[in-house]
Amino acid sequence: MADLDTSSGGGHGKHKGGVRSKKMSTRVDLTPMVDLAFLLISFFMLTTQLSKSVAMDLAMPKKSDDVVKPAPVAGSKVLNLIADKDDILWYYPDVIVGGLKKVDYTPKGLREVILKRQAEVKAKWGLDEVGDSKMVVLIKLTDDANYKNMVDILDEMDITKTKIYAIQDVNDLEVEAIKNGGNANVSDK
Amino acid sequence: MPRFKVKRASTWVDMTAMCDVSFLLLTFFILTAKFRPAEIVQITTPTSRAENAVAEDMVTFSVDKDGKAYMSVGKPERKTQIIDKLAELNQSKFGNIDDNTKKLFTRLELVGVPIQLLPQVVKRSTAELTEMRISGQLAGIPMDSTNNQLGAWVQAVRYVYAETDKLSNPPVAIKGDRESNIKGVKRLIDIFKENDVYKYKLVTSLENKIDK
Repeated sequence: MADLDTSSGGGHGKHKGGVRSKKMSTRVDLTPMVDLAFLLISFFMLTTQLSKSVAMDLAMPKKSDDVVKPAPVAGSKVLNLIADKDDILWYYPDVIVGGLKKVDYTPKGLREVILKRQAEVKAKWGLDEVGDSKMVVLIKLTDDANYKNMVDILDEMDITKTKIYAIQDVNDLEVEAIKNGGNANVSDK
Repeated sequence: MPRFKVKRASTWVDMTAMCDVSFLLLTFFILTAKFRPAEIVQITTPTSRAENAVAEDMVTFSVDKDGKAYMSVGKPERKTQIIDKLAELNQSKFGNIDDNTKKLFTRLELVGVPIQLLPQVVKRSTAELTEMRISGQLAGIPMDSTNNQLGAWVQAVRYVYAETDKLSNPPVAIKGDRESNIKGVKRLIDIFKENDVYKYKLVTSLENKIDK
């Protein structure tokens, strides 16, 4: 047998009052060992999954020397988002700079703004043949913004199913407006 | 009346079989687990909802927290072609790159120095490069307009993938640190544009679904 022989002495029967050692069971409780094994299994399963990184696609317009000016877009379709320093995001509708408002990157902030504008655009222009919004989002990133802000906005485009968006440079009027805390009265001069 | 004796069954369950199975699985997962390789440059990518996995064989351009740019090529056989192409296209600018450097370049995990310094760096191991990065000796690939070496790399990458794989757009990815200033990434996008690369992937990590 594979058992360890734990019985004492042998059955010679000569000794009377000898210390009789108990017969120990050789069965070992494996439950804690199984526990440990499953713990490690779950750890390895989870870590193999988590180390994968994912990617989002980004396509930029082709540069062409003939077309200097971009195609004009109706102002009532436009939403401008300007990412500023310290995770501040400014937004204003239409193409005329003015009345910039602050918002943050939380679902309650930015997403609400996009959805509201989407509803406005839908009321005026309807949806395109695929059923997506015709809204045009112009994403502008100031030099103080960070990369996370850009990815956050692009991610939000995906979540709200906004198909038409462009990354542009911030223009002087907008820089001025941000300095003034959102008001663009200077444009009247 | 006959009395029925209820047999008392033992509660002891034999765990041996279960133990066998669990350790078999454990061994399997340990052997197949692929930990994230030690990275020379630490980059914490921003999170997004995107779910397309990144292909292993992409050419990744990274921008770290300080705005320094690095390049890593996923496919080893492309590395030889890229360095050859780079040398061929920019002979006047960077001079000749000797054959030994080109040979060792295939083993270099990450390009993080100006081309002139490549011969000194190609011999280093990953651990040594990490050491260099920590002590600030890895300067990154210069990408300012006067010394646009990153542009030269992008150009070489595009030529190689156009010639060998007949791809009009090489499989490139941008990996930016979440804290990094947008200027570095913007400059990288501009360089891509200058070299007719219009489609690329932005590497992100999976977002915790609960907070969105």
